[in-house]
Amino acid sequence: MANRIQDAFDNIKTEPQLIESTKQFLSKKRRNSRMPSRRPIFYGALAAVCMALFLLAGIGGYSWAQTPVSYVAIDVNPSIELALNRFDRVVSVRGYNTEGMEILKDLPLRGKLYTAAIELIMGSKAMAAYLSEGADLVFTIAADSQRESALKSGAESSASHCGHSSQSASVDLESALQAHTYGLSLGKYYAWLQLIQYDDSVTIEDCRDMSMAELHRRISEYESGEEEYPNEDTMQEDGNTYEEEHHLEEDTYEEEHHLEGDAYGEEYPLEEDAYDEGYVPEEGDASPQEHHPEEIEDHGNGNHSEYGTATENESVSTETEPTYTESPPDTAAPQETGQQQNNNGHGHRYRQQRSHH
Amino acid sequence: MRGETEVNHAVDTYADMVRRVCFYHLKNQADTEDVFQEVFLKYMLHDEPFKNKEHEKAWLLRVAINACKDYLKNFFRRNTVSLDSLYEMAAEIPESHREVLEAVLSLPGKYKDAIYLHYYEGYSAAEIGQILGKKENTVYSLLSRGRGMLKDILTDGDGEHSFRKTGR
Repeated sequence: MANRIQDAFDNIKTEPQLIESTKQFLSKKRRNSRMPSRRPIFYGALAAVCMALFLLAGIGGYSWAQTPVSYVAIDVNPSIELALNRFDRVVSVRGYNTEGMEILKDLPLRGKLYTAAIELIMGSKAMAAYLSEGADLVFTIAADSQRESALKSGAESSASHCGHSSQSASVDLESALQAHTYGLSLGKYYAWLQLIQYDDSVTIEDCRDMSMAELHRRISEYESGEEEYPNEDTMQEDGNTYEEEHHLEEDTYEEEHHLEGDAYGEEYPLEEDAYDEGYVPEEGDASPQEHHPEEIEDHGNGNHSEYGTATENESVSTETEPTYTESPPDTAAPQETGQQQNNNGHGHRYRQQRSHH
Repeated sequence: MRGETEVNHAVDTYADMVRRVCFYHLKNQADTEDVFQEVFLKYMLHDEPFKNKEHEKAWLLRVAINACKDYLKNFFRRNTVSLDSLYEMAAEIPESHREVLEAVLSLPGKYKDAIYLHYYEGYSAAEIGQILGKKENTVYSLLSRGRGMLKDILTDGDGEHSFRKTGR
């Protein structure tokens, strides 16, 4: 029985193609199974990349939120500067002089909204000592144009909350960086910039120790001093124009005389008097042509009452010079022409005199 | 994972054995191929070292038997069994041996394992018990009952005839 079973089963042989296909199947599996063996590495790498991305996003986000985009400087004598991120929160504070550092020493300002930070600073005991009557509280804001006005009003309102009036100025971010390189707070740097326009000798070191009130006093001193210069300038200019006009008038006179012949002869000395005494700068801006008839009026008023009629003035002023030179004999009253004729000799003489000059 | 040469050597060495287990459990060539490949795939992926050749052989036997049983347990397989291939396979086997094989194949599964392991592979009842996960005494009774059934089938020509009849 055992033998029969054994013999019978001996007949059962694996078909060669089955062995072959199995070997192929196994080697195929082996090749494919390399994938699973690689998979953990692949997933590990993927996880690592994801982690790195998360980390980068975190770091990027943090630095994005911690990057100062605007600066608010508070200057009295203590100089304090708040660096704000794009959410207007304080990312860092810096005292630019010992007084400023003293104030900041115990204040937890980081992460606070800038208005809250300003109120905290204003309310601190150390700051109170400096916020006396004569002190100038100045906010200097360096921010982009969008934030600037908002920050300005925010800072001022939070200062007024604390019962202090304040001034504020805004500067561009570039000068903020400039100020940092000089180690000066924005407000003082801005004041210094104003000051050196008048006085080159003021150094940054001087500024650092000066209070804002002092800086402002000096600036305003210079500013008020400066105001006088423009006045003098305008005075000088006036004088110039006067002279110029005078000169021109003289010329026209000469011309008139020449053209009109002797018509003005007798008046001339009188006219000269009028020039010297009666001429006022307010007429200075008149052009020679316009001035001319007025002059005649003047002379007329001053010396010959018959002259100053409105009609005559108008007719004279509307006419151009060449026609005018001819017009007086036509339009003028007969007596005038007579007088003018009478003065012929004088006028001529005067002209000669002048030419001698 | 085992090296390619080791696996190929195992395939060459144990192919017939696994093939026989598949033969008396499974009913067609396609299933046999599936299970055959699966057994050696398991061997390839099995990393624990074997104590010796015997251990390796016993391991493969157990894996093959379990693979066949699992395969037959599959609902889809159980319901689409085709007996035709069995007779195609058996056709190549000489008449005298075919008789015995058919007799063995007609036994229920648990008897086939015990009979095959005992009479062909030459394992003792204790060893069979280990391989099949059964008690030694259970194996004894399986063997004696299986032997009885085989005797009945092989001595009774009608039984063989009727088996053929029902098979066809």
